[in-house]
Amino acid sequence: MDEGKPDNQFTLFATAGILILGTLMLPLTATMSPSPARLGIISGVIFLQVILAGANFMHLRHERRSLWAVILPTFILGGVLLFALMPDTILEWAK
Amino acid sequence: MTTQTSENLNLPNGKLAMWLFLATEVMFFTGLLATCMLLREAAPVPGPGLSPWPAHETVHVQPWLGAINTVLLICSSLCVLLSHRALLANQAGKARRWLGLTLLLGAAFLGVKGFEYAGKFQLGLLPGKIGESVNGLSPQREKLLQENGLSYVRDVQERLRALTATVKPEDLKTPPKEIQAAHALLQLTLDGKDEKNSYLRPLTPGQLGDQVNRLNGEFPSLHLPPAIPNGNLWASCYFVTTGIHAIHVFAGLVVLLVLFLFSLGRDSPRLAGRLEVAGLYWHFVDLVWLILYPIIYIL
Repeated sequence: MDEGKPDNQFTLFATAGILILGTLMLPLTATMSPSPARLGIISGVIFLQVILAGANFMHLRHERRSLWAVILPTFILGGVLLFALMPDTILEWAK
Repeated sequence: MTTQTSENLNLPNGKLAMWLFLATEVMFFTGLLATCMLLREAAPVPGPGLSPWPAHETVHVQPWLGAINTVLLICSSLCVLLSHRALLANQAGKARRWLGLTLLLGAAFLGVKGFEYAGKFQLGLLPGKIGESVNGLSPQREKLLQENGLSYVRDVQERLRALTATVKPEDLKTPPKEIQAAHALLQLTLDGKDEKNSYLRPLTPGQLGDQVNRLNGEFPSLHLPPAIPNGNLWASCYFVTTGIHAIHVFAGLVVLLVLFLFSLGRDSPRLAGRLEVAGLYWHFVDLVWLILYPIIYIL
């Protein structure tokens, strides 16, 4: 399927999901002290929100699988970039 | 009008081009956010018991303002989507209304951002302008921040002089208390003699930083330049990430405005393809904010 069939109900559901997740993040993180669990919750919420936005708003739910050939390597390279960007100076500061 | 498509991916050329552009944008924002996170994680500890990264309250970051902006952008994305679907259903008027609403929501996002920036400008929370000296800095940090400390003392003195310039000495015994406090602090930054004619040493930048932070807490209306360890690093990260994102929002608004103006006289099917491509960009900007918001406002 190339172009998604208009599915306003699902889109509204996804939008509500993103907004609810974002709203929940505020009290949840405000009541927790900085910890790996808090970071995990925030990362999980970000991941879910991005998936919902990408799949529905950007039509990735309906796009041809061949488009993933363009998108996936970018994310893999992005991950590599995270480590490549650790310059010596920053590592030196941490000592 | 026929739309040319890429043979292998079977995608319209415009859409493929936008996806390729977005791929470069993913790399760009990954680099930017990764740099900020690494700078934050590896920020040097200024001294025993001092936090290496400023707390949200210290740098006046309001999570609820970021939350409002999240709602605005998500709703604007929904509006673009509904506008596109209306165009596909040949409902040009409805599409125009949704697109108009998108423009309003995008402009409101920039308005909230402008409000935040104005607050930072007013408080002097700008890269290179923040004093980092407080009591308890390690000797290495103190030595490193010597220039910053001297410049900070001058900035505070200038602000204190401006605050107390219009007040006569005889009026200092009467309220307002904040002006009295400002005058007292100004005296402490100058060398002089006490009533016993003994030499009074002016406050060091670190001592002044502590005094200023205390006064700002007591009298927020003074708006004295706060002393924040690693504040300049924070300000650089804040302004670069949110500023570049805001520029992207602005660029998206310009494109959507052009499409809105086109929609007044063009045929729907032709516009639908263009709006879909522009919408992809707008949704991407929205998606970046979903990642940026927790990093800047929550973590």
